[in-house]
Amino acid sequence: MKNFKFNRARKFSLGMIIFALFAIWQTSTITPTFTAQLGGTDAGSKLFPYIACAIILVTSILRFLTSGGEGTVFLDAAGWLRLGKILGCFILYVLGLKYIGFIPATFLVAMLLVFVMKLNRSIRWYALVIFAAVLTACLYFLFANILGVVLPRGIFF
Amino acid sequence: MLSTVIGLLFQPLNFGLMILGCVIGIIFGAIPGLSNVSAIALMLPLTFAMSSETGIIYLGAIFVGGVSGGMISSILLGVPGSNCNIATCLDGFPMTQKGKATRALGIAIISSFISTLVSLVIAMLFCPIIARLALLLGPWEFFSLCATAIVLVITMSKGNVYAGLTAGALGMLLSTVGIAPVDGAKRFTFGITNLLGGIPTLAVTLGIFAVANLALNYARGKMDSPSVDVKGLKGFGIGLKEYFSHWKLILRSFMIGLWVGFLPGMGAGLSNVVAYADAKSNSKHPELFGTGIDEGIIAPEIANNASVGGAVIPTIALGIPGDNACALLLSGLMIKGIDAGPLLMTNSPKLVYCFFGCMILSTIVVFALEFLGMRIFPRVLQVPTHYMYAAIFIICFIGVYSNTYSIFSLWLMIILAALGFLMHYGELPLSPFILGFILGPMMEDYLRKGLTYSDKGFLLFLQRPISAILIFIAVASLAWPPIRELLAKRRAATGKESELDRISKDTDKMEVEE
Repeated sequence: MKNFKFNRARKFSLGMIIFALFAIWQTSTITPTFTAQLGGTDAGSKLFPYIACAIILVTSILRFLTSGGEGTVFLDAAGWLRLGKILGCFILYVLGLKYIGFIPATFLVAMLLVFVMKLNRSIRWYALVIFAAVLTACLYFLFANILGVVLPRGIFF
Repeated sequence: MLSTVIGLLFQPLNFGLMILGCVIGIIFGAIPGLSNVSAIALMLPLTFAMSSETGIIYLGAIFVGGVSGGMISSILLGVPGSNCNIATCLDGFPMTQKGKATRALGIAIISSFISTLVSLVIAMLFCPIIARLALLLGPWEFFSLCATAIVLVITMSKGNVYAGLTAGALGMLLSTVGIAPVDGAKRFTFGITNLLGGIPTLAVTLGIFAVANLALNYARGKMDSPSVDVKGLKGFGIGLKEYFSHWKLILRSFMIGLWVGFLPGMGAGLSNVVAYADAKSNSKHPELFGTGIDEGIIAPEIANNASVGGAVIPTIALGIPGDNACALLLSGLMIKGIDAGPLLMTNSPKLVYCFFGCMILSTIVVFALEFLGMRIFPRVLQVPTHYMYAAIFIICFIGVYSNTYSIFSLWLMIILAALGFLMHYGELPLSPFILGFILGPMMEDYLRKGLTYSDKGFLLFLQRPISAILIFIAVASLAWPPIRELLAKRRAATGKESELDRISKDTDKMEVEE
């Protein structure tokens, strides 16, 4: 027990075990429709999810038991912060598409994404504006004009 | 007949449309989120005003260009253009990161050309014979084939088989979200109406592969543009002698691609990963896969393009589409009042051979276009990474939106990207997950059919010879890696360690240090 390391693989496997138990409980709550209640030899809609859950549960337990060693660092603190920033940009973009529409949202988020991902590089403000404008225009032309996709309109567009 | 078909193909309008179709196919194949399926779907209405032959020439050229073009973004950006090129990313992108982008493209272009050409010739010659074989397979064989495919992909998981199995099962579980087949029960929808239709495949593919990978690169500060070796490039960046030294791999991957493509509903999306898994499991240096080696590009590119010919066989001979693109081609024929199926070759031989001829000619056109473009394509890498990543993220979001017309699917893609981060954190391989997700619905369908058709239950899966062989292959490939490891340990203990064992240890150390 002294050599037991609660490493990354074990933490993840424990999470997967809890997830598999939750999924098994959820599978048990699937309500069969009237066609299934008529009988017959059909295995039912619970069988396949049960098989998948069982594989996850068993393999996660085995991995928990067999994953020794120290493990490596996934991300440092700055890395987690960067991951949070980029996820924040994605969330802003989807909200933008929903509320202000494709053109303003894409224009603003394209600039924001470049600004966030530039790391230590210096970028001129007009380069950001030109990039965002060209990208938005090209995507609008491709998706809306050529492919006929009705892009999100939001409340302004 | 031959002169009529050649005459039709080289009519200025038909030939011009063929070149245009190839260009459109390559572009759609190369843009993540778009594929030859979306290109054919979008261009289908244009064919209404064309003759049957012209329409099928145009659509056939898009089909060929799309399958081949997907490798461009896989190799240059590490983002699969479509699910036909998922495995190409695994070694294509690392080779690009080593500064050998043009060599990777050259290998993929040669593989695409040879494989598509030969598979189409085979399809043309053996179409009626091979189609009859498919009728011998039942749901038991199809289920076992799907399961074997997932297991073969798991064996390429780095290190841990349990992690691969977890990933595959997670993909299968995710595929059950929505309305169940057969009885229509609601599964894991949590009262959300948008989940009734299941989770969109494109949201999964782009979320897990593209968005999660690129965001993780940024989080790790890996934002340096790879160098490009265009200067001094001769030919394809690889000699034909060197390329054909992998002839055994080429042959094996080709047979996998042809066979998988031929099985209805599967196609290039499956064949590329199965061929990659096979290449790795049969390689003398499996530990080098994923680091940017030639074999890791040859196998998936040979297989996915061989599936073109394979998928065409059931489409033409039986009227059963081999994949989604073939389904759209079939609908194009049906719109023209032509019924595909066993009688098509008898009733409309000119159209059938025109279709094959157009696809063979398109293969040559695509080869020429890609050869000319391979010096230009890598220049995309010279765009600063922060600009390129920003554009890719936005294209991914708009690609998913245009596929579903739903903001909800964008939220799903963000959640799936987060799942992708978690999988990286837990060191779960992505390929078994994707394969489990794609094959999950088919597997469930075949499993339920197999159990319903007989009173013998699961026993019949072992009693039918082809199904039993496939299950044996799956079990054996699961058992082989630990046995091989055990044998290597024994050799090391007795001082009889091979060079391969030493290379394997060194690369493991490099991965840990990284």
